[in-house]
Formats: sequence, C-alpha cells, structure tokens
Amino acid sequence: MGRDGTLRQLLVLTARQALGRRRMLLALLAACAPVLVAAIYRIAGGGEYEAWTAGLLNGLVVTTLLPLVALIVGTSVLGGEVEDGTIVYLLVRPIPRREIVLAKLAVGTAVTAVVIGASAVVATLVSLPGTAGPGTAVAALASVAWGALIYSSIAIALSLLTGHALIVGLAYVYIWEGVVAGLFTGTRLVSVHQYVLGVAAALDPTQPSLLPWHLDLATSLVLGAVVAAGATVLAIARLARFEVAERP
Amino acid sequence: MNSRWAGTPPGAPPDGRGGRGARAVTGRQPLWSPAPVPADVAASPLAVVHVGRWYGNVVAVNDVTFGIGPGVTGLLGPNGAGKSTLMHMLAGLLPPSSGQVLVEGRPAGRDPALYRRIGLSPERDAAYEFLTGREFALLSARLARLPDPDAAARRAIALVDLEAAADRQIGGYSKGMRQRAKLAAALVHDPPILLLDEPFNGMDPRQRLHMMDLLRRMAAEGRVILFSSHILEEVERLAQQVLVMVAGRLAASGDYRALRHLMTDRPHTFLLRTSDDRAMAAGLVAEDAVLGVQLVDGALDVRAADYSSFTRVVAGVARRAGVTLYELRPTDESLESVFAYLVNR
Amino acid sequence: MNPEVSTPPADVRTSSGSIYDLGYQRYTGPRLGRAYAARSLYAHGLAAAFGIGRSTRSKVIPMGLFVIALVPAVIELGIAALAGGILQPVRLDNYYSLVGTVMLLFCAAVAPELVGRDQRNHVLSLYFSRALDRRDYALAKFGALLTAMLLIALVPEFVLYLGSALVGADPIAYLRAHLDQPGPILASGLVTSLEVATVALAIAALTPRRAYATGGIVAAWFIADGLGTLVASVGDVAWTRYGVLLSPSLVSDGAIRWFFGTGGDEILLRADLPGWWYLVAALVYSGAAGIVILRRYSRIPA
Repeated sequence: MGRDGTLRQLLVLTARQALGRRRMLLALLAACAPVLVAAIYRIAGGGEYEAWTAGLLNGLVVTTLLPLVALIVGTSVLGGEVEDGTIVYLLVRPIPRREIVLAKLAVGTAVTAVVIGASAVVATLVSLPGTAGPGTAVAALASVAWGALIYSSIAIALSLLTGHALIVGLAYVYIWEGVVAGLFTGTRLVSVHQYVLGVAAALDPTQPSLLPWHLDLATSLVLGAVVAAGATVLAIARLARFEVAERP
Repeated sequence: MNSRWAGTPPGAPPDGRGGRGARAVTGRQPLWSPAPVPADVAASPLAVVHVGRWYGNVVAVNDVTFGIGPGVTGLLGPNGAGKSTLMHMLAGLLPPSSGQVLVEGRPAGRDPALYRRIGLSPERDAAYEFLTGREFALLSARLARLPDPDAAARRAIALVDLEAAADRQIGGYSKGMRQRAKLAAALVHDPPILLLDEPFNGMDPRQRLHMMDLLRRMAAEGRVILFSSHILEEVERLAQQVLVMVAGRLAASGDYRALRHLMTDRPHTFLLRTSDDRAMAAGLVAEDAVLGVQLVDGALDVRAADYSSFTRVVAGVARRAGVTLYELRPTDESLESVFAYLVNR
Repeated sequence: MNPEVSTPPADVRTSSGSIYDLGYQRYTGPRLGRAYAARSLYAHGLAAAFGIGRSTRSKVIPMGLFVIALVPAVIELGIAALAGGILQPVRLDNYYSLVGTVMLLFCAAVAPELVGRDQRNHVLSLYFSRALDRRDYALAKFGALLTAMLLIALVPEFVLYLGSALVGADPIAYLRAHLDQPGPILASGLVTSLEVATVALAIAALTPRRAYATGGIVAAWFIADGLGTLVASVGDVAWTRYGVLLSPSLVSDGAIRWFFGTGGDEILLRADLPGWWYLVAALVYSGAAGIVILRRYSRIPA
C-alpha cells in the first residue's frame, strides 16, 4: 500500500484540512478548560490532590472532552469531504479505499490524542504536586490516545453511515455511556469510556483505589481493539460501495 | 413508434431509444427491457445497457441504452433530466438500479484501477479551498500514481490555461477558474475517456472557446469525450454526436441533423425568398407536400410535410410559376428546434 | 409563425416577434403583512424541528430523542404501577437532571436545522425582502425552537404527573393533594427550555455549517458544565462555591429545586446559594444569548 506515496499524500491533505479549520480552534479552546480548572484548584489550594485530579481526568477529560473532540474531528475528516462533495476527487483515483479511511483515521486520532493528551498532561502536572504527577500524566496520555483511536474509528464509520453522524455519536456517548451505563452496570462492557478508564487504571499507580470499578487492562485492550477494527472495516466497506449523492 | 424513426441515424445505436418501450408500461412494472443488447453498444468504450436508476419513488434514469465511441459526444437535457446521475454511473460512483454500465467492457464501479482510464470533472463546485490550483493538480497526479507527477500537473495547468492563477488558493477562484482547476485534475493523467459534467458552467466566452478547442483537439487524438450541458449552443458547436435526455429517458441519440430529418411527423419549416412571393405561395399551396404558407416580412415561411418531398417539388413549382428563387433554407435545423421538439412531444 | 396556433387577444406581435399573454396578473388583493409572515415562519419552523414536512430520515433524530426523553417517565409509572410507589427514583423535580442531556442533544440537532439551512442556502435575502424584518425572522425562529423545547420538556413531566394520578386508586384525590405541582412544572420547564434554546440558537446562528453548530453547542454546554462542577467541588474554600453558577445545567437545576422547594443534590447543597440566584443566573444567560442572536441577525449579510 502506498507504494507511490499515495497514503502520504492523503495524510498530508487530511492534516491540512483538519488543522486549517475553525473547528480546530474549538478543540484547542476545549483543551484549555481542564488546565484552567487545575490552575484554579491549585490557587484555591484545596486538599485531596489525588482524588481531585482523578476526578478532573475521569470527569472532565475522559468523560466529556475526549469523546467530544474525537467525534467532532472524526466526523469532519471524512464526513466534511462527503458534505462538501470533495470526496469525489479521492474516489476517482486508482487508490485502494482502505488508504483513504486509514489516512483519515490516523489524522483524526493523532489530532485528538495530541490536543486532549496535552491538555490531560498539563492539567495533571498543574494539579498534582510532588512525585505522583508524571506517572499519572503518562497514564492519562496513554489512555487518551487509546480512546482517541476508538472514538475516531467510530466517528469515521458513522460519517459514512448517516448524515447525522455527529449527533448520533454524541447521543451514544452522552446518553448510552453517560446515563445508561451509570444505571445498568452490565452495559459497561460495551462502553468505550470504560476501555479508556481500564487503561488509565492499569497504568496509573494512584487511580485503582479511586475508581469504584474498572475493566482490567487486557479486556480494555481487546474489546477496544475489536471495536476500532470493526468500525474501520465497516468504514472501508462502506466507502467501497459509496454512492455519490445526486442531490447535495 | 418505429415509423417516426425511419431508419437508424448514422453512428447511433439501433436501439438508442430504449426508453421508448418502457413508456407504455406503468411505473410499477419492471423497467428492464427484454430487448437484446446491440453488438455495437456492447463493443463501445462506454456502454450503457438498459440502465435505470431510481431514488425511492423517483426515477432519475429510465431504461437507457447507448454506446459512445471516440470523439466528442454531447449529453443534452434540461435540469433534472438525469444527466448527472448518468455521469456518476458512468464514472462508477453510483451503481445503476438496473442494467449495466460498461467501461471498456468492464463494469464500472468497485474497481479503483478503472480510474487510470477515466477522467471526471463533476458538476458540483466542490473544491479543496485551501489548496492552490497547482497543488490540486499535483495532488491529483500523485493520487493517479503517475511516474512524473510534477510534469503532469504542469502540463494539465497549461492545457486549461490556468497558469496565471495556479499559485492562488482555489477558495479565492472565480467560477470559471474553478471549472478549469477541475478540468486540470480530470486531465492530469491523460485519460482516454473523459466525463465532463457541465464543464462550461461559469466560464466566460473566451475561456469557453479555448476549452472547446482543447476538447476538439483531444477528441481528434482518439479520446472518448462525453460532456453534459443544458445549453444547446455549446453542444451544437462542439459535439458530433448528441444524446438527448428528457425526464430520465433517452429521447434521441446520434447526429442532430440526422435526427432532425427523422422527425417526419412534425412539419419542417423553410424560408424562401423569391422574385414573386405571392405567385410562389399560390403554386406551393397546391402541392401535397406543403401544409401552409405564410408571407412574413418579405419572405415566405413554408411548412412542409416532410423534408425530402418538399425539396423535390420546390424547384418544379418555381419553374411553373415563373418565379426566381433567391434563397431557400430550413429554419428549424438548429439543435434548439430539435430539442424543443423532443421536449414538447 | 404557425397559422394553426390560436392567438390570445392580448398578444403583442410584430412581424418579427411576439409577446404572448400567458395570463400573469399583478396581485391586487389584501396583503397579510408582517404578523402573518412571522406566524407562518414560526409554524413552519416548529414543524421542521420535529422533521414534519421533511423526509423520514430527518424525523428519526428529533422524534427518537423525544421518545428517549419520555422513557424515564414511562419507567417510573411502570415501577409505580407494580411496586405501588414505594420507590421513587424518577420525580418531577429531578427529571431534568436525568433527561437534560437528551434535551441538549435535541436542541443541538434542531437549532442548526432551523437557522443554519437558510444561511447555507443563501435564502436570508429572500426572507428579508418580504414583509418580515430581521428581528421578526430571529424571533419567529426562536419562538419555534422554544416551543419545541417546551414540548420535549413539559410533555414527559405532565405524563409523569397525570400518570402518577392514574396509576393510583383515587386519581381525583391524588390531583387534589398535588394541586401545587403544575406551577413548578411549568416554571421549571420554561426556565430550562429558555436557557437551552437561547444559548443553542446564539451559537447556531453564528455558522451556516451544521457540524460546527452542533459541536459548538454541545461543547460550550459541557465544557461550561465541567468547569462549573469542578470549580464548585474544590473544597475548603469559600469562593469556589460560586462555580455552580458557571454550569448552565446546575443553574437550571438549582432554579428547578427552588421552584419545587426541594433540596437538590450534593454539589448544590454545598454551594448553599439562595434559590432565586439560580433563576437570575438562568435569565442572565438567556438574556446574553438573546442579545447575541439579535445582534447577529441585525448584521448578518443577507
């Protein structure tokens, strides 16, 4: 694949698309929120640093910002091209459809992981004094990257399945993961949120005691990989059968 | 039905009006036609065989069959006639609901390798606004896996006369410049088959002439070029062959002059200037081949039953009446009248 | 040219050209004016909010979210019918903390449809060249969105309220005992809807693109929510309790608890602010968003 550098071309194109857009500003603004809160917290000098930092990471970063940014970026990298009609210029080229999907997935994941990961790392280092900071920050970065990959793959598949990809994705995250998984604990097994927390808990020495319940590392990795791979395969299959809409 | 199409126009597939048969059938019944595929259609570089496409209850393309060979073919029809749907099906971007679309004998679609042979300029004015024209051509060349993409991009930009604007972002382009950028991308890999959906939209007259010239040259090199338009003048000036689509059906195909001659159920009109219009009119009215004569502005407007019988008798009438003929010309040979005829039937 | 064509009497014709009278006439009757135009735009917007008059595919999201907003009420009535009201996990005063997200998503889906399409298709100039002026347009669209939000807010509440009466042995006695409820129900529905609708419409009016608008609405809401909640949960410091006023959903929740006279959850109890503060905060948010909307529409290039 990409023996003529076509994958690289797609990556560069997608990166320019993603970074040049106004929604990038939105994502950066979102990334500032946890840092701001952490700063307020340190200035106010509230105690229980570890519990509060875990609350910041689990509550704001992983529960809200990560899926939000991943869905916004993920539905725009490919969905934006579908909406604008520029996808045609990629489809009329002799390149395998998987290259298009993989390039979009790579850029979407990278953008989300960098923006939210950086936000998580900085917020952790600001709010956690002493030596516990770096370990928690690394765990946060790894789990955010893992979540970015899974959410991005879902977002890309959704953007090929429905014209309302963003709202459907948000409904999954905030209704299913946010409300239903809170009430019916069994549904946690099909919650990306839990795969992210599972990775964080396994890597972070302070977290396990702070979470009431979490998946173990292996389960989080396997289930997350199944979801990401399934969504990506679905997206590639959909793109291969993509029908250019007659009416915009 | 066949009497109207007495004989097959040169170059047109014998069954070029597949939609005819389906017309008598109600919409609920199958739209495919049992008629066999003519051999010359199947052998064409671009073949559309009993193709239908519908969206829910809306039929966009209805049992269309034709083949296109080298040269420029114009796809003509009013807005909403199904031209873009047909273009997308030919480009393999939309599967037909029924029938088959063949590009060089292979089914279009699901085969990215086909895009080495096809160049498409879509109708929609979509663009990567943040790229410059040159970058867009270069990206297209690289994605086409060309050995020397830089040279190909340069050549394409030069062909469409976009050099002056090539280093500006497409977002700031005028409509005409966007069209040329799309064309450059469609041409960049030098494809033997070109599908151009409304390529002249938004171009100024000078660019239009330049582009027509370019397409004529490319056709002369043996390329298959299909372009769509709802502007008759463009098709008339550029295309040797026309396909006329009306409401999803193929209303006519072939050389438009030949088509015009086939439409015997509608009177042909001629303009005559003579030395004595009234005497000539009196003589003409006596002929069976003449349906009506009108004196208009110092000339005779004659409606004839059909082309050949009128042209046979007109000289004899003039001689008998002792009238000198100054001018005789058909007034409805333009594509406009062919089209109006097909649309209004 | 064609002698068989019957010529309408009003045709203008010369030897080389003719203009046919196709029967077009100038409308000379009474005109219905601004109020009627605004009402039509409002009614059309309200129908469009639920996808009525649009394709089936555009009905799925709003209708689906509406149904989801009803689910807790139905579950509660089921529990009440089977278990006799011993447990009351879903109550009138905590309903919005359960379905607030659903309402937000509904609004984030609907608001961009209401105002974004007209910008996307460049038809605002067509509206503004009619009897409607810019403010009428903004108010009609806002009215449609607010009505839609009131429906998704109040229908489940009244289903729960009236349903609770009907599952009991004596509905009349129940209603008589709970006569004080409709007031808080209406007030809390109005405050919640007003806050969501104004904030969402202000963001949606800023961009023609649906994805930006939807993402912007949800992001602004949740980020403000997270900020407020986290700041308010910084313990041992007096001033951080005002953080609850940063969170739009805590603000409306506080106002609702005040209407119903119930205590509220942990974070509101800790903040311990007077109930009317929340109402004022909600109105301040709505007012600020309203100003953004009107300013946007007074300047938008049409």
